[in-house]
Amino acid sequence: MKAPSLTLGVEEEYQIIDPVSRDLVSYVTQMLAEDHRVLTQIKPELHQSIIEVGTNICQTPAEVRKELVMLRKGVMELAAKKGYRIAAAGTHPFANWQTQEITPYDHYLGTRNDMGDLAQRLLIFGTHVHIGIEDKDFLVDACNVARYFLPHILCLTSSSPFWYGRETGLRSYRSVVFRAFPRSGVPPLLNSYYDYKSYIDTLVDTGSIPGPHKIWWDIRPHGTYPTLEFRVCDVCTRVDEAVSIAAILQALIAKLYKMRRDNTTFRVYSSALIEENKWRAERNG
Amino acid sequence: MPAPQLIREFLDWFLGDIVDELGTRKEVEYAYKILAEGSSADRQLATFAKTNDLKAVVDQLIIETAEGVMDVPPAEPLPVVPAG
Repeated sequence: MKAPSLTLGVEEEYQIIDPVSRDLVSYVTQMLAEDHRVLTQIKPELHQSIIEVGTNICQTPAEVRKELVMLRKGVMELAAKKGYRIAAAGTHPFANWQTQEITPYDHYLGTRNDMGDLAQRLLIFGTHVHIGIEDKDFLVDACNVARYFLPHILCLTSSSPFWYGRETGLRSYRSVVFRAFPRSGVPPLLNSYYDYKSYIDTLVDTGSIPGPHKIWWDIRPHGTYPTLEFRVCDVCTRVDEAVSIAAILQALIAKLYKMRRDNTTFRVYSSALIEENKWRAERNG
Repeated sequence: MPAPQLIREFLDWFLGDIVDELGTRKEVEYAYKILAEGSSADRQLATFAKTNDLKAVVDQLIIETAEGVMDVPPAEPLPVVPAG
């Protein structure tokens, strides 16, 4: 088996903030219409008050840091043109999800149609970390085993204790909001890459989903890139935190590869037990 | 088992050897600071407990998001709430 490249890619979703009201503002389409060197690495999201960035492919956490600093700076500069600010947290402390504008592109209007109020309520912000794994068998093995560590990772990144002006009593309310979506949460055990592919193919062939990007699990083999994508994290507020999480996840996959190569294993846990730990991570951090 | 203990075990015992091979011990060990000082959620809750003002929480998020990135101009100052 070929050793995984362990490349790193990080996506972050940020809040666009009005510095007077401290509320979210719908501004992403205007930001995308500006001229700035970081624009090729910026995407809109479902709501107009969300802006998403993605790093280029990195080899080390140090490179991730450079990219994230550059991207956050670029987004802050773009927002500053209108006097707005950028904040990174899994939820906004008091924004009203019911009145948020949906980004007026077909893709997002379609999601609003498909998902109804669940889409309107998806006013949440996450960090996604991609780790490069080229071998499909190891990709699925790593996905199965790494499921166990999702609650650990969530604890370290929890950044959404407030929702709609209320203290929720949870550390990661974002996880609870996301859970309402279909195909979300801790994924089921996958028997093989073939098993995963045939699950996707069945959903696509029956017209249930247009493609694998509609699988919203906390961890998933990515549909296009040769990566394992961790999606469980609330967006990290500090760059230091995001870099640390990327380093931890890269080390985790390196370790799992080493064990696999040496013919030792880490136990594969049932989803029910992992969900139990995840609930505690959501509640208490 | 309490979560911080479980996470320490994960970092020390499970990842301890590999982080030196990768040369990423410093980045990985930042997680100990999170365990000691609290996650972003803990920090937000602490600010709210102190100020009872969610706008102060937003201000803190803006500043922490820019840490190591750039100095952000301060937001409009929050009105001073009379004591009592």
